[in-house]
Amino acid sequence: MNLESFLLLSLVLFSLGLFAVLAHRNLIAVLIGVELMMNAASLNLMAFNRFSVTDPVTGQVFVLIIIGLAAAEVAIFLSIILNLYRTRRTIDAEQLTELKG
Amino acid sequence: MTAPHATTQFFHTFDNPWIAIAAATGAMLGFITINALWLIWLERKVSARMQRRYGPTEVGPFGLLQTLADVVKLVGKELITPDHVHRPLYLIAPILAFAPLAALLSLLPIDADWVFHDFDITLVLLLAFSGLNVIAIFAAGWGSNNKYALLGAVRAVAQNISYEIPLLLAVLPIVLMTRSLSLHEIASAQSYPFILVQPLAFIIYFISATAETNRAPFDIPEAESELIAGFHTEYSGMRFGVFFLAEFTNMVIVCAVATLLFLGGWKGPLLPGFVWFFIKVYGLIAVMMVFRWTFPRLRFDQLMTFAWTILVPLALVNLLVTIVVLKL
Amino acid sequence: MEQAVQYLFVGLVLIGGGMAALSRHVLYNIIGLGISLFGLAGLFLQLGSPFVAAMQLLIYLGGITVAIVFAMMLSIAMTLDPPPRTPVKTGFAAIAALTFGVGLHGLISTATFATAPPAPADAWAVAHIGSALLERYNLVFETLSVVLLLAIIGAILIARPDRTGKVA
Repeated sequence: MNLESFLLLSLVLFSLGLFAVLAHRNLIAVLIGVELMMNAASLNLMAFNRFSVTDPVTGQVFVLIIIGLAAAEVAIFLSIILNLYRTRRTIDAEQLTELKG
Repeated sequence: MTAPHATTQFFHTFDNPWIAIAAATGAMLGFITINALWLIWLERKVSARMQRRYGPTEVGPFGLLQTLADVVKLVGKELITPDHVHRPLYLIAPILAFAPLAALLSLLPIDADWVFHDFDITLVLLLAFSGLNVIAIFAAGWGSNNKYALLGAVRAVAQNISYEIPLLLAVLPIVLMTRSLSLHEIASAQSYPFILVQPLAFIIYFISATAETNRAPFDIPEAESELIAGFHTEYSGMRFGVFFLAEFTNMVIVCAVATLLFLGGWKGPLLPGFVWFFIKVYGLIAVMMVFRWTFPRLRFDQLMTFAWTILVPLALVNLLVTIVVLKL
Repeated sequence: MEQAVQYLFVGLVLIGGGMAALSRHVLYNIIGLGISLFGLAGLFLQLGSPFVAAMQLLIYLGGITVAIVFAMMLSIAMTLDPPPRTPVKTGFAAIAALTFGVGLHGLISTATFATAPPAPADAWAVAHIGSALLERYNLVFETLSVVLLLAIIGAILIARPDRTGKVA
């Protein structure tokens, strides 16, 4: 597979993630969409790292940092979800409307 | 990278890589089955002797063929799939528990040049695939659609992720000492077994490994007297057998990593390397079995407290001391 | 042979991504994410870096997926029925994602990317990643550790009930 195929695959994955963030009501599904988008970006970086760069260290370090940051973000997201579930008994994005209007 | 031994050269002589893979997989599955037969017999004998009775003595010399008879009985059982289970998760859980561990067997170097393929990161791969066990437990617990199974699965997930951290931290000083993540290099670099310089790391690793394989005294997930059978309550016949196989294979892998990291792997006088390797591995497994029949089961909060407030700080202190000593 | 394995991983990524994004039951979303992450680890291996593949398995599959599953079990989200269909929202989301995808695809297909000769095998060694993390990219590494510390503290603070038993 060449560079263009990897870029296309990562684009499809990113679009799927974008759709998941926008279309789902369950907050956990939104989180999964965000993770899909971050993984698409990592795939993109690794593809460029392999095909377009002479020193392959930078891409790998970049992807490792992305994975670490994704872990931190998931931890916060999940604790917010737990807090929401305890206070409001729902994790439906349509019902969290306190700041509306 | 090492020179491939006769076994790997044997597999490389196949022209078609698919046939080579099939042959290697067959060899590994054969090892897993024979290993499970032997270990089940060993467990029954060890537990029997510790309880002042004899264990299996009828079938075959010293009861060695008893396990074969039990396996034949198990295979002959009807595979019952209860109505209320969530079929995709229920059916895939045993496979998910077994497959990563079976794949990991190919990474273990048995002798100085007996290894299927030597990556330079085998240790990390081992820890990564052991983490997949957690997902299998969850799939089994949730897919069974059964309160007891779900409780067992939740406890097992919490226990597994809690004990992964002391496991990783206990392995780090060894990596620092040998400056390599490859099991083969670490084992080759041991002119003296590392347990002499890192006894605390070995103890922490062994305790965490016993918890990772859900063996007593950490067997809350399968607590036979509390939760019927924990997360594999709804599994019968050969499906339960697959879980059992996965547990014994996990024991072998974990003890093999312990011998490679701490006890010197295949090194030893007189006998050929792989004999020493297996002696050490099965010695450690026998110690694990003695654990099971010696210690009472830990309560769940005691288990978590032990991991987080005792093992993790000890492992961190050990790591710090190692770093300071290495830098001096 | 390598091609077949590569297509297998690509298939896993696509099937997983499809399940994660398009299914309405949250359990299948999570399973899809797990499959997709596994396929991605395989693709990282194909792209030359077994270390990043192992880290992807260790952190994403062994850590993040387990955490999501845990949070889901604690919020009993899986026993709820799938929420009622909202065709307007789904339709607009699909239009947005498709527009984005098609637009970016047009951009990619008309661009020319620089190509470089493949690096020698010893440039992919793990030792280089280690020394890069501690020498060239030291600041990023330390910042990541601070971010993780803040995330842990923040997560504990947000999800902790206070002394009266009510949530803070």
